[in-house]
Amino acid sequence: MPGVRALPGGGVRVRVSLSERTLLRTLAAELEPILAGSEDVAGAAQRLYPRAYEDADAEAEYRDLVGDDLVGEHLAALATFRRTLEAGATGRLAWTSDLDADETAAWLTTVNNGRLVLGCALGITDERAWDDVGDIRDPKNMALHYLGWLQDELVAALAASLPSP
Amino acid sequence: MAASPTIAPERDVDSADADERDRPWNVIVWNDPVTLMSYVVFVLRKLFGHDEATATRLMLQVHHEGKALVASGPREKSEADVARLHAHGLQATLARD
Repeated sequence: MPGVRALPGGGVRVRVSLSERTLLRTLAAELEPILAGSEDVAGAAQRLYPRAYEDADAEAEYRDLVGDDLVGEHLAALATFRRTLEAGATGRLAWTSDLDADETAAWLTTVNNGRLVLGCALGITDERAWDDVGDIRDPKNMALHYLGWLQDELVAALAASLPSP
Repeated sequence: MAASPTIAPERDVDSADADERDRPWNVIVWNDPVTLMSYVVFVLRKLFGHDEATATRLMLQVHHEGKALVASGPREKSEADVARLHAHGLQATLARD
């Protein structure tokens, strides 16, 4: 059955259809130049790398301090996501892969980044925009909803392993 | 008699500077229409060690009121908190009252 389930040690087992795996590969390839800053889609760069300060000088200092690290973290997560997509076991109908804790964190980061970019591309700038997002069969809309399902599955699997305060 | 007035204002200035330095920086998480509610709860629990009920309350505050104060403290720590929130894809800023 497709979905994500927790494994001992903080990792997860991911099982998706072969067409879903193809979609994830495609999205990952499209995401790379946007994360790297060599392409922008409808203001996605500002959403992926938001401001920390209103004050311009403080913001410039913050960007100097952490900007490259944030880009590096997102690209490293994407690289792990793409590497793990090429591993795992391929069956007749589905692909299955066991991810360790770090790989799972990379998936969560990348899936979230993918949703943020798709949300920008679809013009979802406030809650009401969901009503005008258009045809559910639109590939971007489908991808956004699919990644929402996948992210929810990842969160549910990982939430159980969070320590109690 | 003339010495006291020149000393007293300096102490006031120092004290004001110290007060300014000690004012905490607030970490604010802002609403985003695309980010999943479950993911926001997860990130707040992971980064700040909140229990599920507290993280859910903060997430709902973000959702309904547009923002929520999730942490406050010295500038360096607050800036590090914002950077970690940004690394997790949440919109966060820091400012003083």
